[in-house]
Amino acid sequence: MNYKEFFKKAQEKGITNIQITEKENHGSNVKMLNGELDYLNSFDSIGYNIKAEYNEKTVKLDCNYLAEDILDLLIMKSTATDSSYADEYLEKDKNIEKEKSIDIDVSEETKKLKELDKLKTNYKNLDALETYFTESYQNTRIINSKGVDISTNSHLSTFAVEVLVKDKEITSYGKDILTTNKKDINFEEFTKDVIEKAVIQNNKEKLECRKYNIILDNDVAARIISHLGIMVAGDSIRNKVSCLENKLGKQVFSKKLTIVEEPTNKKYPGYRLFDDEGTKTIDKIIIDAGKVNNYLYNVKEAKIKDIKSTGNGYGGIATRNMYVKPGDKSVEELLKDLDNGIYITDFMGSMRSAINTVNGQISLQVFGFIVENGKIIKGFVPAIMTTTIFELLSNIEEIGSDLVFNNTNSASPSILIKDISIAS
Amino acid sequence: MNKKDFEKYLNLAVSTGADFAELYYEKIYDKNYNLIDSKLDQIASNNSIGLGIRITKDKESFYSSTNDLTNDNIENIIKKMLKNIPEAKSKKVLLTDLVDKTKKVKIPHDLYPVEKKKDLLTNIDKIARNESELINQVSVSIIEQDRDFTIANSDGKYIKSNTVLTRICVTVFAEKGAEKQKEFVDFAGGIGYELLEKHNIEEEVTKVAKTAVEKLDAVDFKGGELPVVIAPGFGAVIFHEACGHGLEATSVAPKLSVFSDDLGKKVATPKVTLIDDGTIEDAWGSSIIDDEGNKTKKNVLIEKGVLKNYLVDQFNSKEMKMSSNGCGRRQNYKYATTSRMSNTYLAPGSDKVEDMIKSIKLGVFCERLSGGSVNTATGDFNFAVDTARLIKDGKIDKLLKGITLIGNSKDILNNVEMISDDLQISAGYCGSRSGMIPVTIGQPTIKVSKILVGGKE
Repeated sequence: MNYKEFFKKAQEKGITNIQITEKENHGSNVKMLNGELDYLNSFDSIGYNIKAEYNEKTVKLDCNYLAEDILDLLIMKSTATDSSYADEYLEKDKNIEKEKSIDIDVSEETKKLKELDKLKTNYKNLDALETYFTESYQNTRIINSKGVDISTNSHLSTFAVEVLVKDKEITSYGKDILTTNKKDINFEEFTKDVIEKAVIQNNKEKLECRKYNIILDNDVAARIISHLGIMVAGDSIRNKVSCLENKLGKQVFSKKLTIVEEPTNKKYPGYRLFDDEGTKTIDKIIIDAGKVNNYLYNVKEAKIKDIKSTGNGYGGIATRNMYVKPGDKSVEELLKDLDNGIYITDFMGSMRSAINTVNGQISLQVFGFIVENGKIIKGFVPAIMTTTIFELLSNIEEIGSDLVFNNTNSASPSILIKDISIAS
Repeated sequence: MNKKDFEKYLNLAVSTGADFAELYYEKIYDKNYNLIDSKLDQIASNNSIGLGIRITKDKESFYSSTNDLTNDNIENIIKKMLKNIPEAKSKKVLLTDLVDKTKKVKIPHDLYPVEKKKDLLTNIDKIARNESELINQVSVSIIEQDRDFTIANSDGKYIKSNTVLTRICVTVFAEKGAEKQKEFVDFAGGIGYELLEKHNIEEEVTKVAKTAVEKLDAVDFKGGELPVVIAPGFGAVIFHEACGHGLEATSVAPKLSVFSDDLGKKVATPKVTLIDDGTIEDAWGSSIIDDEGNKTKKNVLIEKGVLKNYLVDQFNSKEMKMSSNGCGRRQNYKYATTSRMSNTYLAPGSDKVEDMIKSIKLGVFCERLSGGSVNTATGDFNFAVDTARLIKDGKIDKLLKGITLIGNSKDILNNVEMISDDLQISAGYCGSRSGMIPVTIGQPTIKVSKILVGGKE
């Protein structure tokens, strides 16, 4: 059923103000194991988030097809819901961005991945080399019964490398990169760097249980920072389940820390012209020199507070292109400043379990290197970092310049932090 | 889609010499009811239909998923996939008659009135809030899923089945001054609303509310290598992570598991017997057939410390020269199946919990674990302990803040010192190559002689 027919049928059934967020997603991913193709997958899907009014109630539904039974389900849901807030519907004056759908072909990258296997010959203890490449195109289109029809899209590529080094010890080490332009990826250099780090890390020793000065590399820092998005989300604040409740305008972190959200920045992979509710996205400062500067809202939470949505409605409240403002120092300079300490380059486990957004406690299994006199000496046996989000981000000494995006919602440069408890 | 359609697409899929082709057609109906702040916040629902197409040739696997089920689109997808298959002799696919393996539940989701569901949410909220004034928030959700699927493959298999899942999740939040804590409990099964008859929800929610309040006085703990006692039920995440994943053919077949060459060898203390059983009646991780159309089974993986079996899906069975044991699973049509756990548990022993506690001078009692992960290649694993208590001089003492346990698969299996007889099963989700799937994990209370406990100085 096309939109015209669907809207017409809806009207006949007494459903008004119907608005559909359509998400088209297609792409391919390929995995190579020791130079042999492990899998080549492709996917294409269209999903619909529908909201509408029936008997003066707002009803919402997700589905991946449009048919009459979906309209009947909307009607049935309206009798069950207690939702009393009036939702917003887009008027016909919004920005429109339309691009042709992109055909995705990963055959070139599949060849490049296969060729990377030759790098293994230079390292005798390299037991396995796994490489992954994913390319995807996503288009978000909002169409409603008031004649609105707008689109925003993204075209992203991810390259990931995982290596297994085995001699007396075993080390598994991996890294990935996300980019808006696959031509930016230097497959060989990236893979070499991962292999070399894995080899160094395999010569490892146990750390003494005590406080250390640490560097969180840009990937680990980004994944911790992403939880700030949950902590400043309007629903977490309203429901009193965030450790940043009642902290607006207060100094809670180091003055060296500024975190912004720039969804309108096309250079970064989280670029979106509008959120999934059709609210125009806006750039904002979330943490301003250590002070909580903004909470984030979707339409529902904004309505409850009688304010405007901040353009963070993606089903729940989420961020796009949120990142820590970089400093001037390279990783090498940060290592020099660290002098003696540890360089954390990876973690294992679910960050959701490891970071308690209600009270800010963090307990995370970490991997990385021992640094002596500013130089990476060897790896360390997996250890546990125990801290709180307040201690971690208040003890910041330096912020690096190496801002890299690995996902669409958050990013960070590497960060030098003092006095953090590590058990090994 | 009917039998003729399936046959047509399968014949196209094997027309250039593929070894094997499979079609997986699925309809999923999800519904979530969420209550927070004592109000029904939202009813979310998701209806989806889709098709997964898998074609394999030697060790290579090609998979495509789509929800555009028009004939042109499906044929185009298959033709694109065939560009990767070198030309060879085609074969003819003829499907059997449709085998129906549909599970019937006592109280289906649609027959349990919405008003009753709302009452259930509201009552749970009241029970928790009545426990203490320090409880400042309660979040309750009901998760319903009805999944119907049909599998047709080039071996002629043509079978349909379903899964019905119901889960109630409760999180209680407590606050005193600047201190905030939360505690969680859930009730889940591969059944409809008869789930409610199987649990004493009031008792469990009250207990959880009490613990949330008690945790407000939890203290920091200095980490180190210590003996631990792990409570029954979700504590088994340690075995799920520490060895379950390493026994899946996905990592065993390409020799990426620390257990790849250990079949028949002693890998644990003789006290350890580990079972994965997809047939447990009404369990959250059970199904009649797996997502490749094979009957699910009870698989004894480790018996008295000796590695007896792996979890083998159909694709990896060739490489492993073992037959599939009904553990090919996937989240939905967007994922190709691979070998996965279903209901994994440590068999009960005969030790007494009191003796475990008494035997420890300084250690930790892990009352509730929240999740974990493993690197199957190295065996390194971790898991987060949401509720932990100090064991001091043979007695359980105060609650501890923020604990994580880490270790290595092979070490932990050899450090299981005592196992009691109080086996309990808990539900959760497991994320891996074929997506997030419902699993249960179970164990009796166990004592591990030493493990690294992460704490704060």
